[in-house]
Amino acid sequence: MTVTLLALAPVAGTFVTRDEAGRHRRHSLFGPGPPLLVGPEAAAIAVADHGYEPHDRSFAGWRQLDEYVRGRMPMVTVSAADLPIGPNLAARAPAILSRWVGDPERNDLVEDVALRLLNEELVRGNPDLVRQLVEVMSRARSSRTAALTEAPLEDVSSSGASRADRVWRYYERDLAAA
Amino acid sequence: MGFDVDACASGNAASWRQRGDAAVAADPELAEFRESCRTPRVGSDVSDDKLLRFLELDPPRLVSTYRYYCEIDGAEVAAANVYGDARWGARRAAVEDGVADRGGVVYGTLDLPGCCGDEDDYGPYRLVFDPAAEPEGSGRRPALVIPHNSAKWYGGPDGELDEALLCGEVARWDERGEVAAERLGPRLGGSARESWPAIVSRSDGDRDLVEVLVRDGERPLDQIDAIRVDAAYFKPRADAYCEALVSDPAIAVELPAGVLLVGRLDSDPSIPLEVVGR
Repeated sequence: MTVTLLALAPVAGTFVTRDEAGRHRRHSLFGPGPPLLVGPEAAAIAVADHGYEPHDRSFAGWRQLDEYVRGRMPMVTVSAADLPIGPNLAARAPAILSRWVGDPERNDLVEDVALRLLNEELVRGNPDLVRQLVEVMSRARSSRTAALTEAPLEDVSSSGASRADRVWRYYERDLAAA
Repeated sequence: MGFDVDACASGNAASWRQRGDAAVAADPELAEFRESCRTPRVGSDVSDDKLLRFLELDPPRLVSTYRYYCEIDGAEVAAANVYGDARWGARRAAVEDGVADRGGVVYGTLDLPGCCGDEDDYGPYRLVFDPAAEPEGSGRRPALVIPHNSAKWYGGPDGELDEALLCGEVARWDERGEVAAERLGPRLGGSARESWPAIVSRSDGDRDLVEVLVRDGERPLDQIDAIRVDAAYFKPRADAYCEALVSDPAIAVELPAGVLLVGRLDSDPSIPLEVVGR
């Protein structure tokens, strides 16, 4: 099935397509749910109003189109040590890590992230934040211990998926529904 | 240009006040809504791509879509992208010529507190500012309140502008509450106050809305009061950023620019980021 890419916002990972039947859709590589059916004017509006790149490029199928879009997505090569940590992120961290405690795929990262934050002077200078991070580390550890005692080892090993895979999961979307 | 849009807006001031009063008289429940809409700032929704580019400008600033493309690809591509589309381009050019600011207009809507950008419409990040808070000597012209989607309603497919219609309907910034009461009152339908921000800022099913045209719309980031985003949009990207924090520092990682944008927004205390919701 031929599908056509009409407009693309590469940083956002959003784009507008038209299929052989003439149906237009807006897709988001990050967003939940299937692509939205939109009107035929959506691509022009996306370009004129939203800053999308104009395209008129056909692909043999969704997979090829998806690969092209991912290839256009700008990537920045950085070292983790160079990623900035400011007061807003630090303040938000306990809530983020609290969510991860109950997430078997991220639970094992809670301590690493908390310790990375505790290395920052702006975090160490905030006793309340330190207390919250220590507390969430403790909860993560307890939760992991409970999982180890309650579940067969092979189930727990699924949390060992590579970090890169987990980051990329945000871009995964099932286009079969499209 | 055949008419003075500012003179039209001034000339319509008394009429808009009467229309606002009439709307409230017909539906007294609109009084509170009108009052809420008399004081908002403007909100302009942008995509990640635009916001990232705004942050990279020197100095960082909000610019019109035309200027955004100029920064990336130059004026020729910018003109083709913004004004070249057969369906909307000529209409939009007609409106911007009509308000004497082709290429400089930043489009927005009235902003009630708590309203975020819309990922499925103009973009997830809502940049909020007061278009009337002008530094002395800025020479900026006042923002205009347009009762409808300007390109769709007043621009013609061949680039003609319905000057009479626009002149008869354009409002000054001071009359924004009156325009909102008359135009959006019928959409309220007794809805809860919590739904007002979305009603005020988003298009209806016909892509129509009360629009604010901010001429000379460029604003340095330090004049932006808030960059508002829904937590549901922000969280997955903040998660990805935090995961990247603990990758091996000896090995460079490739991060999507959209994730890096979130880290940057969240790590620079001078950026007035507001994440709304849980």
